[in-house]
Amino acid sequence: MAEWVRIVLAVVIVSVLIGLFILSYILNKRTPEPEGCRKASEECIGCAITGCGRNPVNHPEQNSKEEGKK
Amino acid sequence: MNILVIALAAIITNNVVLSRFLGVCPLLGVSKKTENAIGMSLALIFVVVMSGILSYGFFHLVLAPLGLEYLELTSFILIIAVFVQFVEMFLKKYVQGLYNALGIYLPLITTNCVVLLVALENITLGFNFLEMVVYSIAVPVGFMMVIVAFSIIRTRIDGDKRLPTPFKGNAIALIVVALMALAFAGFGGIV
Repeated sequence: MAEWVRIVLAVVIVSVLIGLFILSYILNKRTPEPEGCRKASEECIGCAITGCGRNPVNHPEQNSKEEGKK
Repeated sequence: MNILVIALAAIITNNVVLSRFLGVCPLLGVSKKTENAIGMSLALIFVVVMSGILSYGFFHLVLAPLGLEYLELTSFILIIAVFVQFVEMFLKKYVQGLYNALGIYLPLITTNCVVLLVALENITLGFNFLEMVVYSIAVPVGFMMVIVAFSIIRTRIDGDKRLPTPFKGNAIALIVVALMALAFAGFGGIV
């Protein structure tokens, strides 16, 4: 197989995977959480894992709303 | 016999947390309550096994035949991320009871380096399919064993008023992990 074909294939594979991730992320965000579900944000306050999507550090707008309510 | 050695080595002698010091961040973050530690571990076992199978299949069916083995790291990261997103969405929509129990831990698992380690080592250690499945189960089981034991110790330590202030919180937690690692070092050489 020619080298340029392999490069194109590599780009295609990575692009498809990135596209799948974006699609899955959007679909997941649009899916509403079931009622009565445990609220992660309350349990996650002070958690050291800031890379996690649920960590309150990553949702400053939500935090400011909750503070406004209080 | 080979399967048994792989399983025992992954759970005890090469324990992913205490021998290789991976996954320490979730170990400290999700060990304050034993029920959280069990939930996190069960979700981790499921994600590691499934992402291990997916990444192993992707490598042997797509990357290796095309001569694109160098893409394994990039593609495995994306496969794990996509898989976790789809699982979370599926649980939210169709299995709400399970989402209530384990869904909270799924985003945490994306950031757990144990998942990527298993996916990569399944390839670099040259496992066949059965060995890969056993290894993918054994590594998170080793993680579960440590995190559950650690959470039980931690619940007792956190409530102890005799603990000096400078040792409270993560300080004593890390000392406990270090002592557990020393204890596990005693298993070295049995497999």
